[in-house]
Amino acid sequence: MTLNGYRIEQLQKAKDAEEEMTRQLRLEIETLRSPRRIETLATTRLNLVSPKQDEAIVLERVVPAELPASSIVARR
Amino acid sequence: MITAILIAVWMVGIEARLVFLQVVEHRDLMTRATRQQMSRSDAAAKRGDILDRRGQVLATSVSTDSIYAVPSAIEDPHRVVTSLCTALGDCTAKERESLVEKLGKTRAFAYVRRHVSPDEARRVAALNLEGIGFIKEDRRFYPNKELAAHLLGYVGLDNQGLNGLEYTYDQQIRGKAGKVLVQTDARRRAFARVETPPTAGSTVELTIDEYLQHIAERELHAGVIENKAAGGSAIIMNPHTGEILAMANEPTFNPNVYREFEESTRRNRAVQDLYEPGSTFKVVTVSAALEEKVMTPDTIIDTNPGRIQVAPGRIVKENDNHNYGVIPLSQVIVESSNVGAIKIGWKIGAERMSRYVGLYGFGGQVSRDFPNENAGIVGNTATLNTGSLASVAMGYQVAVTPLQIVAAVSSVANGGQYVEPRVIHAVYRDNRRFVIQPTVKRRIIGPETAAAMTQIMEGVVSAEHGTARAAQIPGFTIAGKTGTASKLIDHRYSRSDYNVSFVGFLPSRDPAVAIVVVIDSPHGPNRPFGGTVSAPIFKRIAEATLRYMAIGQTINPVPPVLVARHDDGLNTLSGTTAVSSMTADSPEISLVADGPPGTMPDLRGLSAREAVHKMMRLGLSPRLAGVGFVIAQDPPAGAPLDAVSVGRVTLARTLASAQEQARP
Repeated sequence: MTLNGYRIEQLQKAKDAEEEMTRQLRLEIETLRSPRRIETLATTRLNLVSPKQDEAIVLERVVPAELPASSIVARR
Repeated sequence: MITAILIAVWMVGIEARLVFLQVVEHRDLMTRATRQQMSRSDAAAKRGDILDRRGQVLATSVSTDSIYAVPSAIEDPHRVVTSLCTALGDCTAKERESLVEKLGKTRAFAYVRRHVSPDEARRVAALNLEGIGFIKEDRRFYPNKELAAHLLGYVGLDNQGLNGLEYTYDQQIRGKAGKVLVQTDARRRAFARVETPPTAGSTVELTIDEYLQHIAERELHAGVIENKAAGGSAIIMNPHTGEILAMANEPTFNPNVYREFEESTRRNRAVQDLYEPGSTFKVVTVSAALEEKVMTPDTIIDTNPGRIQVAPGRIVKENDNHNYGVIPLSQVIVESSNVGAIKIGWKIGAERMSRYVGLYGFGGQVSRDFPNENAGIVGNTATLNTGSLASVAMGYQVAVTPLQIVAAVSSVANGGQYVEPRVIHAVYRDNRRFVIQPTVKRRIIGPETAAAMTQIMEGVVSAEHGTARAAQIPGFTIAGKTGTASKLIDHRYSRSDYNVSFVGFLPSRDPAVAIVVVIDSPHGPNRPFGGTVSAPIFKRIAEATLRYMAIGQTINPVPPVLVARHDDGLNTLSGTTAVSSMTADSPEISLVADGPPGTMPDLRGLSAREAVHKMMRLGLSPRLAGVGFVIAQDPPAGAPLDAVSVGRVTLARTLASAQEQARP
């Protein structure tokens, strides 16, 4: 029984480490996705510009449905 | 024989000892063993994240290494500090000194440096110094740097909230530490643990949209630079729900390294700084007159000769010494006539004026999400003499915050109700997400008055002499009001420093957003007026917002693309043709198959899985009859979904069976 205890401890530690790694990667993703960074890259490196009023016509916007007022969240 | 007796005695002796140890001393020995094996520690709680309304991370905590030392185990502090500083690479002389002092003492624990980067930790670990160790500590990161800095705030070294939402909601976000009891063996390896798990901090989801926040900050920053201003604020709000989509302030700071910035940059000006609103306040004056039925939009007011005496020795003139002559009430707003506003204010009277000032939220805190919000300064009825009433009607002698202004104008935008501005959208607790509902506080004006005000305020932007023509966006109707007010410096109204603002909502007849832009002391190329400085910034923010929210133009709107489905396929195909090939025959694919939001989309031709998916995303419980592809649905495509909770679809594999099912 104690043998299982060792295993459980090891796995718990491994799980914690992986979770922490996930958080770090998520932070890295969000830093790279920061709007200012993307805009700077888009305008200086890729030479993209915002469309002017008359260059883009809005037809429709598909919006995901609002979640109900109280909902269960999957753990990340 | 003697050997036997000796062996017997020996055996009894051992048994007695065994019994003694196992039975008599049992509890005592167990306790000693447990004490040796168990170690108790705190399990730190993870601080909750702060997200924007779409789940993007604005603030999060991540585990980092902190370097500590055991000074009593260090014999040569100088040598150790030199090695450490070589590895860390950036010790200041002061830091070196203090480290040497700390390590020289005989304490058991001292921090060397907290929250170091993984590289620094690696280098120091490689040194393998005696008496130096590492512990894990959480560190707060703001991945978007200065985005929404004033809203988010920042935390101290021990992850305690010091400012902003980190401070306001610190209790909920920080969580509660748990306890861990670990049993370890002789080699200090754990083999069992009992936990009270830590209560993870609640994650807080804001009403802020990261992209709109970026837009507001970008344009505000550009505007402040261009106009050589001392600072400014901009707020984007949903006038129906009170949700704050963006709140930007200049100057700003980076909360990751807040100590490098001056305290003045860290102030949330949008809710803390007061300014006299000037002409913007005429919205209060005029809407009060309309609601109290003292005047109508067409009531004629004589503003000749362009100045008026309000008190002994005090004469108020129009902007730029204009004389607007005899004008209808609506023009008082459109051209921003001071004389007109004063006359209206006098007609309303101090008591009613004071009441409407309160109804519009001035003079009190408007949002529970900003406990250090400035309530502003308004007079009270007793002190409003003729002269004060004249000032208040023009927006002087009252002090307001940008948040109060945008919330007040939002109530005109939404048809006359005051909705509490909120910045918290939802809270996550125990793996559940709880959405915060909007709070309608009170009704200020009736829908007809609101509609009349909207029409009048449209003129500010569109009319030939409107003060905010610079805010025009082709294809959209915008309602708004400019404001230009001298700053009070040393108890006197400055002649060179103004607070210039523009507040508006668009599209005016069905507003999606209300936006306010306030600029502090512009000294740039443009004349210091709300219409010349703030309105262009408003326009740029509004344009980007409209594009982002995909709001089509309201003037000459582009008709939605509709495509007819042809049903002759049903009549000409043989009985065994699969339904899927029938839909392949109809080449047109409806671009608006989903229809306007809130209505049932067209599910015909979809597979069972796709149809269920679509219905569930709309919040409907799906009911399926049959197998195959959707041939009929209830509610029908295009029907409104407000009272619907169940979606029924009939499926069929082939046309023949479809026709069979269709036959009663």
